[in-house]
Amino acid sequence: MLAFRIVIYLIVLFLIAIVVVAQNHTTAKATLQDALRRTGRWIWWTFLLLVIMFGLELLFIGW
Amino acid sequence: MAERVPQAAKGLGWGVFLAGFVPGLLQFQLGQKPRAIAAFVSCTVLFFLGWVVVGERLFYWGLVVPGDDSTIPRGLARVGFPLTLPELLNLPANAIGAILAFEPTGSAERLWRLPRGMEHLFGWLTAASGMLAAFWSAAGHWEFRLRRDAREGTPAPVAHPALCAALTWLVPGLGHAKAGQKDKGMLMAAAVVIVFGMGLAFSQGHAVDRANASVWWMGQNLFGGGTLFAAFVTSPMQMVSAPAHYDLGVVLCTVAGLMNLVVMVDAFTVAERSVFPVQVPSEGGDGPAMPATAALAADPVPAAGPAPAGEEGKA
Repeated sequence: MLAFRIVIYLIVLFLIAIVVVAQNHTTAKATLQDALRRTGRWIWWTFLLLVIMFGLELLFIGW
Repeated sequence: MAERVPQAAKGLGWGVFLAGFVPGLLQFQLGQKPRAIAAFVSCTVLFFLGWVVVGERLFYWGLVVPGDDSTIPRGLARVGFPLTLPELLNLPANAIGAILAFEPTGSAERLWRLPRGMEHLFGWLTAASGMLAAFWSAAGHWEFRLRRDAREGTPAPVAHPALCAALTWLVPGLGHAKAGQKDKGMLMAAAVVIVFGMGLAFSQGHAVDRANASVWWMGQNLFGGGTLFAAFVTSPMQMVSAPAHYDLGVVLCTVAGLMNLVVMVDAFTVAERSVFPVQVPSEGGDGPAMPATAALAADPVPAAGPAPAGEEGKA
């Protein structure tokens, strides 16, 4: 179930990145290349967000 | 010292913004009387085509249902301003419809909750009237902008920006194709349609339903072609029990609608920049500004605008 959610998340993240970065480009090729880079960056931000949320959970709720 | 704001970066003012809520008023102010009549008639006819069936259901589909316990929304609905989106963008028709349909009784409120035959399709029509009013308004804003900023020698747009946005609402990517960025438009369209399709698939077709999830539908309707498809095919299907991934489906379809809003804005911008390219300061900041397309010629990330000749269809 977790793997299913992660796969859906990554697919949707990439598709959103396409729409977001396309505003800075005029061709599909350049858009796709930039969308891949942007998705990678967003995955790191996601990971950071998860760590922070997990930390807050440990702090306020406990293990 | 206050920095001088370039004229192009300024808005057109509150007057033009508010006039945009009355279909055709901007065109009337511009002296385009046939277009003003066309705008008003098209938006009003579309609204009442749907309203004759859905009528007071629109109160139930609002952002806030103007029930007994909600004083302000109830007062607004009573005087013709129910918070129903996107119908609210077609202000006069929405107001007349609300005044005709509003009754402050318990039995009238029960009628709001009563499903109607083919309400999905007719509800889409009233919503389409609101979106159409928004596109007529965008067309008026564009004409005002041209009148203010165009100089002798200003090129004609590759396509009308408001038309590009309207086409994108129905079919993502079509506005970009019209504005000269066909392959980028197809890629953006694929992104929107895949997310919307995933949403429908996960919810077994029940995610897009104005009767069940009206507030989510407001976001989903930003992809008009998708909600029209749903109105014909998936929404009329009876939901016996909620599918396992119903919530995921609703969220994905709404995300697809919001993605299409970005695509619409980009289609408008691509056409707009064929007339008014983005100005970037030259190196050092004290020289004359130059069009972004020229300034970023060697940059792998060029500014928006029609695709340079030869680049189209590479991907």
